Amino acid sequence: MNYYLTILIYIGINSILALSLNIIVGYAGQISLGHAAFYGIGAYSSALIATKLGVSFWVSLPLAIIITAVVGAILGLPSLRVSEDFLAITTIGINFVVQAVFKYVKFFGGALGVSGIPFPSIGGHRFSLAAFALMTAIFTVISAVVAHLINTSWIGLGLKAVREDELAASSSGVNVYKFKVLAFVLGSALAGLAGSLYAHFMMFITADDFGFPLSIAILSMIVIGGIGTVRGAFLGALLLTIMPELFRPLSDYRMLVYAILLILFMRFLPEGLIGDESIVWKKIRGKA
Amino acid sequence: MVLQQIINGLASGGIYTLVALGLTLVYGVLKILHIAHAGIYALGAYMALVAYKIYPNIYFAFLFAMATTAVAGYLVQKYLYWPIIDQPRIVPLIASIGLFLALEELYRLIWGPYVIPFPQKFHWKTYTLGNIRLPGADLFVFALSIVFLAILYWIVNKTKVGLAMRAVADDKEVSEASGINSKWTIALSFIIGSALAGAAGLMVGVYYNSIYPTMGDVPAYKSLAVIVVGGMGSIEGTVVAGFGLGLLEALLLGFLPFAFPRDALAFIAMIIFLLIKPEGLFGE
Amino acid sequence: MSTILEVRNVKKRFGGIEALKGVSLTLSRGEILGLIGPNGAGKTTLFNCIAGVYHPDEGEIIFKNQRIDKLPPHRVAKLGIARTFQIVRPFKTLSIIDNVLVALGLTNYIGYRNLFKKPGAKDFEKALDLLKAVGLDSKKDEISQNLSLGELRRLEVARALAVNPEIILLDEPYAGLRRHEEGRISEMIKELHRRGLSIIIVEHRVRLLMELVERVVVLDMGELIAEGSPDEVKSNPRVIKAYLGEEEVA
Repeated sequence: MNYYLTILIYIGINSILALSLNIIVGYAGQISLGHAAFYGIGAYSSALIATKLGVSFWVSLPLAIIITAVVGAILGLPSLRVSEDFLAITTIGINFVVQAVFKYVKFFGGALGVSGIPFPSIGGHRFSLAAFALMTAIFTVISAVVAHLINTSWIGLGLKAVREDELAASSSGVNVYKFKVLAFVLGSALAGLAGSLYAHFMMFITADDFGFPLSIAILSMIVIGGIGTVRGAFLGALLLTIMPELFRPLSDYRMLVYAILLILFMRFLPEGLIGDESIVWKKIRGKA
Repeated sequence: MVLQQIINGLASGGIYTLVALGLTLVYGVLKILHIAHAGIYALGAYMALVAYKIYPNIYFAFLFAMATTAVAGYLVQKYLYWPIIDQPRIVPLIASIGLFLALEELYRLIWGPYVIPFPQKFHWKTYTLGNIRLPGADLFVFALSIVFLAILYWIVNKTKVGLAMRAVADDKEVSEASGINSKWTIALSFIIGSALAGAAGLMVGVYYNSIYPTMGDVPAYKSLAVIVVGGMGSIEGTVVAGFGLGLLEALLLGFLPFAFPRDALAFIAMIIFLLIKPEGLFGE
Repeated sequence: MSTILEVRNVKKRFGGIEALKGVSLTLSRGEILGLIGPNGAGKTTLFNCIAGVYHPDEGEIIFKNQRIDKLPPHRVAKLGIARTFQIVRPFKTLSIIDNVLVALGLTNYIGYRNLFKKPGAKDFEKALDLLKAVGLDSKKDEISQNLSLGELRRLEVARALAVNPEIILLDEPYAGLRRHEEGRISEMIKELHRRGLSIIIVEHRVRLLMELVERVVVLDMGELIAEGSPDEVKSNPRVIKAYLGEEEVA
């Protein structure tokens, strides 16, 4: 039972991660290949605040979200100056730099990481695994609601206009710079939430948890699921969380299978499984 | 002493340039960041192992490695990139990263995760010029790089094919209107770039006497740094930045009073340029 | 008629090339002004300067007594100047009505209070009205990348109108259209005029402007070389010389 609850928690955290990246990449169309950095900033902020200041999860969580959002705004500034391919390289760079800071700067625990992160509790009673899973589920739903809200409101229209054509967006009254930064702020805030959940679940984190391969994995979730859609983010998170478990018997070949799947998806189904343009999705809705 | 560092820097610079050139050529015509290119570079080294099993000769190994990587490059662009060229930028990017991962895993599964020595031992002489000692290995790598660069220069600037490559890189639609077959030109850019990477991989295998599955990791990001600093799509920029990086690394390593992680330099240079001059030295 | 827009001695260079060498013109309220000239004359550059995409190196641009030459495009749009593009730029994967809604949301993008509100019934109504005005209301839910060029040009006009402009800059609205589609565009422009908008049309074929505009201004190599009624300009020798080698002026 505990095994399944743990998997569910992972699916929840990964869903929040996927939804958060979707705001930046799916809605605003900015290429971000370093999203694990924001995840890590959320995790480390929450972990350090809780361990060094001795406060509970309920204090460190909102603080972590705010910190990550602020850093997200700053790290999102390069997206204003560079475009597409350069942004891809820049975000990869940001990922490596942030990871290096966690790894080599004493304050962040260095190679030993941060341990002794408190599991959430209420009134002195430590959460059970089931309670944590429930809490994660609630946060996941909240994140989905936020993502949906963004998608269907004026900010969503503005972000998508920026994605489609910055010049036309600008001429239609959209402040492109402001919306790009907003995308990063919102995306990283949610990633910070996921990071905090992760830190207080694992109770121990190191820099290696937040590297480039994870950024690619998160990106794969939304592309495989169907970029720019909430349902796609969920499906992608579900698939990519379960896959390593399903493929355990393959053990040594897991990475190869994952890599080949990535290639096949990009080659044959780049709209994702249930994205708006996906053949699969259209068939499901009886349109194709 | 300085000259020692310079020769060393020129050798590694030559390698960086050869690998990065493939990236530049591809980016120039397809506007795709071909991250899997570093996997093709490693393929060159591994193909040397295969070549030696067939016929243990360094010249044959070179030809074999370059031929196989050239074919690999052709296949990659034909079956992976070309069909998805109209998709949003992120799709070929992830496909390339996936391919890079897959290649590394294949090398690991087929040849094992360990470092394999180059199948032939070379005894490098150290040449002395006055009181300067010039390691033969460095000279070899540098000289060979120059040879390849010269050939490339000739192709790009003195042949019709090269003209086509430059035209397509400049403006695909216009060159198609002028009758240039962009499909073939793109394929050729891949073939040439991949062959150069294969040669570089083999040379590194010889120089460091080691071949291992993740040998493409560092060249992957260093060649990215080189094309950013040099200007994406600019061949001159790549050459300048490639040799520049090699020289800078070697000089800093030799003369900085504190321990400096050599590989971080490329990274720092890249970040500086991205922030201050993203078009690079020779870019648009 | 009062002056609504004034361009004063605007200069703009790109690298070594002087695209605009000191251009001045005025637009009166409710006027339709034609801006013509051979390819490369600097017409779109001038539009881009007015719209805030470029900032002039020298000179001023004044809209209703306010200097706008240093403002970014979204601020210029908010003030009341809208524009269309020479090569259409729809929001490709968005539906037609969403394309228009983006521009309608103009006032909501300022500040942060309204960003998370959803477009309401009134907004959809307004969007539909604008689409009706250009004859695209029946296709409101279609994805814009599926439209024909003529339809896309009309969509751009609807989107431009959505920012509630007083001035609309039309950049080669007839380019690429077939004869029967041209009439529709002309009708649309006449309707915009009736609604009281001030219009500048860039077009390098004078024939199309003959019946629409009262005044024409001619640009060549970044300089204003002639000004007057369409007939006057058509027979101006300097103008004819500038077009030499191009499609016939009339």
